Amino acid sequence: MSELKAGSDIKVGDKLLGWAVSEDVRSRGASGGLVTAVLAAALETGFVERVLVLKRVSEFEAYPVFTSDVKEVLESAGSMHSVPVNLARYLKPETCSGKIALPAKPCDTRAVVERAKRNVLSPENTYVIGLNCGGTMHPETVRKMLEAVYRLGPEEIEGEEILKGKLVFFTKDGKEHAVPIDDLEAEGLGRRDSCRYCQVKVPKNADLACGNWGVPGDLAGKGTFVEVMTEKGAELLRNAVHAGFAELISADEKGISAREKVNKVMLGMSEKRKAEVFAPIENGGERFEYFRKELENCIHCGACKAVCPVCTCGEDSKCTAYSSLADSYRMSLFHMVRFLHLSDSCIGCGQCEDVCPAEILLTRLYQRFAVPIQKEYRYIPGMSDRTPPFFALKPEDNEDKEGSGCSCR
Amino acid sequence: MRSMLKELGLEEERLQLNWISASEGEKFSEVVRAVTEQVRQLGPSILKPEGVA
Repeated sequence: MSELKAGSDIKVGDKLLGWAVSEDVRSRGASGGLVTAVLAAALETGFVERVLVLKRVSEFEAYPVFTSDVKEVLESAGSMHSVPVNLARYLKPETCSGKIALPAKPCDTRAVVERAKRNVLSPENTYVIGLNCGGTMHPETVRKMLEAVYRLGPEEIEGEEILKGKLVFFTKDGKEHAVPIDDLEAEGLGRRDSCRYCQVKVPKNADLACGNWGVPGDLAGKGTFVEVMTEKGAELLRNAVHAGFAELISADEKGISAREKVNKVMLGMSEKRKAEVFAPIENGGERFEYFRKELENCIHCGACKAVCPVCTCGEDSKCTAYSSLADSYRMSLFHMVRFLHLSDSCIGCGQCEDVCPAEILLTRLYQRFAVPIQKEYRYIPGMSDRTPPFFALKPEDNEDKEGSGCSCR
Repeated sequence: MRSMLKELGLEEERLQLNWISASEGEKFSEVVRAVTEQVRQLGPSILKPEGVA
């Protein structure tokens, strides 16, 4: 094993393996509890004032809390694939004062970046610990899966993990129950629809990109692979090492390439799924019919807007002000306004379809609008601090680094 | 917006954007006539509710 890395040696671009020093944190947290240790250290030393974490109720239930209590951070430890909340939504001017750190899967991270562009949070004061993510599951689907496929009751479950393409449930009697995710998804179960075509699995837009991909066999389950993406991320890690909360070593070439390989396989699967879901509808009339049919059950409850992490409009917004059910002849005007409004910012996180009481697969519809527009401007929301294309003052601002010009007319 | 209208399956010609100053009365009437004629040619919108003239 290579030598422990000194805190002062950590710099941007480093690829490291790390774990918590405390035995307790190691056993509670996933993959050696590095993320938990970094968050706890940041609070303990006063590096950040508060952290935003999910407070665990059960394997299937958790709620977001801002806390300065290290104990609460320790209690929040561990991955929760069945609680697909987007934490970024909770970062707003009312809640954001002082320095805040949060763990974030790629869609949370992208939402944080987009929210920062819309001035609802301060990017300098927000420390984002990115977590690799191969997908999350809707709690209701998990319940269905448990009953129909695993023949288990939710109360029997102690833990869950995604290992080598299989979804594994650990029951309280100490047994493991594994089913390949592909088999589950063939039945319409498994991951959330939006996760299956998600295009970002490693949050390279965060301050740190952490995960268990690329952790060598002897450290499996005991270590976390972490890539330092920004100076802020390096500060976080240095702080954790100096405070004696975490230990880090350099990752080896084998681990680095293994991580890339997992990422590539996951992205390949998403790409395939994307082609299936977003098969173009050539005929204009059929396209209209498709959208009309999908939206015909909309009851205008506004839940999709309330939960949308990239929507920063608040109470007074175009989509609610310029639409009424009475004016919505044959198709929801509310969604038409939102389609346009989110066309440059929709990150496809799936929050809207998670909460839709009419069970409309909204994220598919929003992505169908947003992806061509984002392609046209070669803009991927949430991945860089580039100004959103519709906010750009000059056409040159929409030119990307590759050189070819903007296609706006 | 036009490309979005198209994505929705509506005719993009339904959306027109013109800048007309308050002093250009003649231009205003011309544009309105042209738009009306254009929309008439396209026929009723598929978004129009049934039973409304």
